Amino acid sequence: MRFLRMAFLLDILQGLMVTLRRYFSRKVTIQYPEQVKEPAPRFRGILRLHRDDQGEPLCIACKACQRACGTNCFDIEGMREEGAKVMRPVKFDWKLERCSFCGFCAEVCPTSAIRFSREFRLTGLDRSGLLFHLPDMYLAGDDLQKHLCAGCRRDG
Amino acid sequence: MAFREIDLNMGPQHPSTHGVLRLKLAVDNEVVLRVVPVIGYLHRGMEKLWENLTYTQVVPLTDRLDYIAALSNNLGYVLAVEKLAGIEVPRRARHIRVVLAELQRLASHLAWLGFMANDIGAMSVLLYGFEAREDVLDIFEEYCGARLTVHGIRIGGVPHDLDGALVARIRTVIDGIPKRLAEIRTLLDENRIWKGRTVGVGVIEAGDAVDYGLTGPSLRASGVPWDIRKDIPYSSYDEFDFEVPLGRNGDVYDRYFVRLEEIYQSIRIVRQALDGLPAGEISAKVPRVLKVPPGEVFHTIETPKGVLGFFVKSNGTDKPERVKMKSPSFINLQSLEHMCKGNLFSDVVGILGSLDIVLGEIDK
Repeated sequence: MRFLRMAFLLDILQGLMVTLRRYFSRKVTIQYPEQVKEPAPRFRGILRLHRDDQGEPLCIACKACQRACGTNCFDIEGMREEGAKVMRPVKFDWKLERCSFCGFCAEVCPTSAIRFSREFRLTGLDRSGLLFHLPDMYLAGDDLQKHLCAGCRRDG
Repeated sequence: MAFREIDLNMGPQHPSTHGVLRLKLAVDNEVVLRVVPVIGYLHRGMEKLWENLTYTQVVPLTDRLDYIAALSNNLGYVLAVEKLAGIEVPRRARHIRVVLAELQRLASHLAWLGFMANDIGAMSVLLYGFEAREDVLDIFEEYCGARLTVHGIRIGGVPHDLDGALVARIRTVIDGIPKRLAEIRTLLDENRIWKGRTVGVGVIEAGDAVDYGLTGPSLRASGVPWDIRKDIPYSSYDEFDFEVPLGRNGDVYDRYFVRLEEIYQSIRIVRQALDGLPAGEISAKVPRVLKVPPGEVFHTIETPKGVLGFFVKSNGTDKPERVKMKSPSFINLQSLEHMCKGNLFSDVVGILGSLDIVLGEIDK
């Protein structure tokens, strides 16, 4: 038996059968730029600030995220306007290049103002696109891509 | 032909050194005389970095050590801190941790299988192994939102609960893995090229393996029954029934078989943990600013690579005074010379692959 296996290359042929079967089976590769796989609902993509239903910003500039962050991504300054009930941020700088997507900021936020989005495309050509000021933190979709890729020339 | 010793550099940029590792080889024609690993190309000063972070902020950085099995690193550090701070973890959280850690072991061993076969020249195994690993990574993405640097364990428990849909998904994935493995085994187990490159290559005797401090599957391939999960149980491993696969000859082929068998055992543990998932809390009450009482602790766990130990020293503040890590890959790498001596130059690649090292953990 052992001799037969050796003489007729049975081990190699069995292996070739596996690869041959794979040749006719369904393809599992996703051709990325054309096909995009949707990230999971909990996916930790780029961080975004959110507003409530009335369009008021949720952030109260409590700096909990700044304290929780292990990589010093945030630089936040808040101010209470005359007669206003809560503080609002006047400066909210977030540095994407320092972020490690650990999720502590989103976990500690008392008003769920800062949350992960499912955006995973974080490419730019110069560093200016990686620094987010307060208005930039609300961008999404194509506007966000334009901010990230401010230095990219799109004349093709 | 006269004896002629040639020095040869392999790496730091070499496709089969699994990262940025440089090997200084002394060869006589095709035979290896000495191997000196040169490490440090990926050094990021992790241990010093941790001294300036709070206990909780360290956890995401442990992901970046052994990035093939990030969750096992989380678990090792978190268990050490919990032991020092005296935090009692709820039973459900411990079960979920076991499920996640064993899934991570599956992912790590499947990735190893692919890399190893690719080093020896079987390209299709890399693709099949990674396809199977992809399903496991998808579970991690579903569970905690990331695939590689998972940050899937917190001090005191776990960040999310395992709900019914996710449990069902884990079950389908682990049910499908034996079939994929059978496919890979048909390609490798009896294949004469695979056997020719692995049987009797890179042998290390049990005594030498212990002397070199070898741990993990590479040690068990030499026939030493040492598995922290069995011998010093942590989390809730003592509640599950599993075997510790052992090899006999301590060659590359045995290391392959031990890891294969460990995949089946991991599936067994995940099934038991999912069946007996107790109800309850998923996290203990941990203050937001965690202050750990002064003291020292050393805690070891069994990661896919070997025995991972964390030494944590506290001075009573919210930041650790010192965290020292006993990384399995670093210690396993030192037995490389013993395994390679007298073997052919082309086998160095296979032996290095069979050790399952990750440079992020070696260089820290």
